[in-house]
Amino acid sequence: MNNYVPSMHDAFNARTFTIHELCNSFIVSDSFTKLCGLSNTVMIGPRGSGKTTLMRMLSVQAIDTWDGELADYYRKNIPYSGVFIPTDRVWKSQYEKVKDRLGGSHDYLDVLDSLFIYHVLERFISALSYRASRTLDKKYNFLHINISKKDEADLVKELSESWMVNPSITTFKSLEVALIKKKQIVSSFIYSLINKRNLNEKPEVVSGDITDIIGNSVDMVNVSINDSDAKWCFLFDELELAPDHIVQPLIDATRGRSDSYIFKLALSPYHENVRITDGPDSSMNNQDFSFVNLTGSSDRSGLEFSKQLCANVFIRNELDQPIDSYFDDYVSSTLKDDFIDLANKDSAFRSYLGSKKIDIDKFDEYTDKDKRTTIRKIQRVVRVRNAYLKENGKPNSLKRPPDFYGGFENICKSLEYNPRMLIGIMNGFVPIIKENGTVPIHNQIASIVKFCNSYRSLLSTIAIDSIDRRFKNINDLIDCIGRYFQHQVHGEKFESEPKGSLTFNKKQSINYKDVIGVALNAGALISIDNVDAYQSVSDITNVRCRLSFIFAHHYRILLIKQRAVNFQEVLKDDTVVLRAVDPMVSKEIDQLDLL
Amino acid sequence: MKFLKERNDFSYDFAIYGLGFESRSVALLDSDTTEEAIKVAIGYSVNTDVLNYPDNKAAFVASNCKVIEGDDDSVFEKFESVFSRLNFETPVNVQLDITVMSRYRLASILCRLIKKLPSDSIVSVVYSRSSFVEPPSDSTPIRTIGELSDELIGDVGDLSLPTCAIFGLGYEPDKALGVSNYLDSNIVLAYVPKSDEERFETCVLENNEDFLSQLASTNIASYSVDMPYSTYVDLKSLIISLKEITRPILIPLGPKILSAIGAVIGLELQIPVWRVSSDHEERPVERPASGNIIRFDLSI
Repeated sequence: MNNYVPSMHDAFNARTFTIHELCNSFIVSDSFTKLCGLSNTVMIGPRGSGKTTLMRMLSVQAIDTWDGELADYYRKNIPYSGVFIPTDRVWKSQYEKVKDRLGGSHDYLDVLDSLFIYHVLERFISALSYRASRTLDKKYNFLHINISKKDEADLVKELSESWMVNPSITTFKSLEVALIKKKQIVSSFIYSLINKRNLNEKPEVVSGDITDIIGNSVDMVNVSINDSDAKWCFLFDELELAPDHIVQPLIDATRGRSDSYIFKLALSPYHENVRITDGPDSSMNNQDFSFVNLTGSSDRSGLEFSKQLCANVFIRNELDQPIDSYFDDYVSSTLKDDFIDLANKDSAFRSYLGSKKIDIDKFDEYTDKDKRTTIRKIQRVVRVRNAYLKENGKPNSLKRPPDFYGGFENICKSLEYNPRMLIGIMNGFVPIIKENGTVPIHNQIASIVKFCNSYRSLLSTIAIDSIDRRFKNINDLIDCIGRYFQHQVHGEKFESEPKGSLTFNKKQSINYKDVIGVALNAGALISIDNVDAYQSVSDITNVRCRLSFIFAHHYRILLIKQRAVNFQEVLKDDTVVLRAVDPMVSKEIDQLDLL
Repeated sequence: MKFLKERNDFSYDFAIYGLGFESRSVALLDSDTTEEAIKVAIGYSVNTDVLNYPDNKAAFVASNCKVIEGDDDSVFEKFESVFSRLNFETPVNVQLDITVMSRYRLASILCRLIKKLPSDSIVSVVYSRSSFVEPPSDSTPIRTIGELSDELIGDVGDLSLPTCAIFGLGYEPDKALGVSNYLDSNIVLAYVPKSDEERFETCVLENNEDFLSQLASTNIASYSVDMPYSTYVDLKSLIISLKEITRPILIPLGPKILSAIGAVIGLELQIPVWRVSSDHEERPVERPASGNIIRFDLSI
């Protein structure tokens, strides 16, 4: 055991894990089960929601490495070879800038476009090479291929010709290396081209529709390995970061059905230009299509997943007691006490009780049925409102949020069961537990506050264009919404069912839809009522969303789904136009860039 | 091109200055080494009437400096015209004062000089450090991220390799955090500037607390603002080793001397070097010269 104490934000990113690390820390969730199916799938989720983990775990290498009973079950039931295809924002940005720079030079666009195609082919051949390896010490031989050296050589020769690469010897490994070299040659050629350096001869590259290239390549492999029924699954992670012209064709390809391959595509929640549902033969009308939404897990499944995930973090740090036992719970006041307390100091609440003919003095006489329809319905509002009022009825500016925002379950809920955030916050608790035995409630609250502040700082860096100076960044937008919801709970009038979620007009949403999309992608807004969430990928008028619960204590609001209000009412101004700023679009820089 | 270890005294044939609103814009104007030089001062199209800009302009004019003003495209065009008229055919010594140049400008001009000057020419990059000025109190949203100059777009590289973002830190609140979040790189390294101005370093650490708390201590290094050669050697060797297993990208926030060093390394190693800007969200601030001059020399 090393003595490294991870920081609160210690980076957890499935992309940087080795396969062994990934498998050892993997927790099966409902989403994984759904994603595994033998259908084309689109999966959406904001940053840190676990898309990459789920996609990588379906790769043939991960399935073959994964230990345990559950792993055996999935090995038996997953009939395809997963090919994990990562993307990257920096790469995409460079690619798009180079493409801009090439402008009308269509002579070279096929060379540039081949970079991504070669990337896909390299990953494909890497998976094939793994399956067919005679030397790797594979644990379970998942979908192992026995192929003779001659057949391997014939296939490599055929693929090399088709893909225009030159492996030094006719093995899968050599073909993989040749693909890597080809990417380097293409990349260097493009660099020389845009920098007007001495150009080598234009490289011969594979070109055409990516789905055709994948289909043809898979067919060649399946024929060669004498398994025409073999199924391959191409797992495109963060598809929005693939070159633009490839994104929609891949989504469209999920409408079709191929006997030899399927696609699983992971995306962030909102993309104006991505259409999953257009047309009568759209993906959703296809029985071979499924949709997985990682946003807004149900409390039951989210909590179950969080418990396992957090327990794993603790076990790695030699803390192997039940996870709940490490968290001091808050001391909850009784429902009756909260009602009496608030009634004593809040005239608006007293008026409400009067209007509903609720007599506090007879609180104990009410039956459970009475309480369900009147008292229990408002208990959460009463508790939060009560906590922020002084005895004299004036607002109480607490030094820290009330304890009821703490407790293990509320921490998980506040972090939206987001694995990246959960691992980050749990890492921060490890040294506290090692010192105290448990995490005191004040430490729990302090960590949530710190996470929230850090997250708000981050949102402050995402720019918004607007003439209305209230909105310079996404945090300003969240603040506007948060203040509205806060007023619903803590305003002069007692609202028994305060509004706490947003809907959007078809007509007016054009004025701000991409900014709402950015907030959804950042996880600051969470879409709810997700039955038809696939429609929301390109159209926010299909979305009902709420603030992330990470802001609940900051805006003194409830950790539950609440009534909807139209966003226009929150803005209080029909003329507000908000535009997302794409930092990658070139702008003139002036002398203010001087710091 | 060679980054020179030894520091020699040069007499310059050509001196390029930035004309801006900070008083330190003219801090290097009256130097013996540029007495005989042809001088050009490159100004802006906005904020030309604030703080010391008008006085600085007058000082440049009085020193027989050719002043060219305008937006980036127009000043580059005018500069190109001046530069091509000079028609250097034999090695020359050029001084490039980057003190008040935007990162885009300093990198674009430096890259042009490296590309176009005759072999064995000397380019001295000089930077007049400012006295300590408090950083802005709030974070400003990031409105532009892009290559430091056209030449520094870098090799697109192999998508199978993880991205490694190397941040030079500045003291603006959460700027690195915002960029890091936007890029979502697999590996992140931070370079913290160190100098004899302790308040600056304290501000850098405080205003990047959230960003730095995400990084393992092994991913945080420091560099001395006053020692460009050491910084160049350290950074270049780091990037060379990273290139074997990652796609490195350099984002030099903070003191502009790192941007100039980054531009040199970017050209040498064909890696992307990016800049970040909040555009017009930042307010013009006076930064007087501290008297501390930082310089490095390149032999072309």
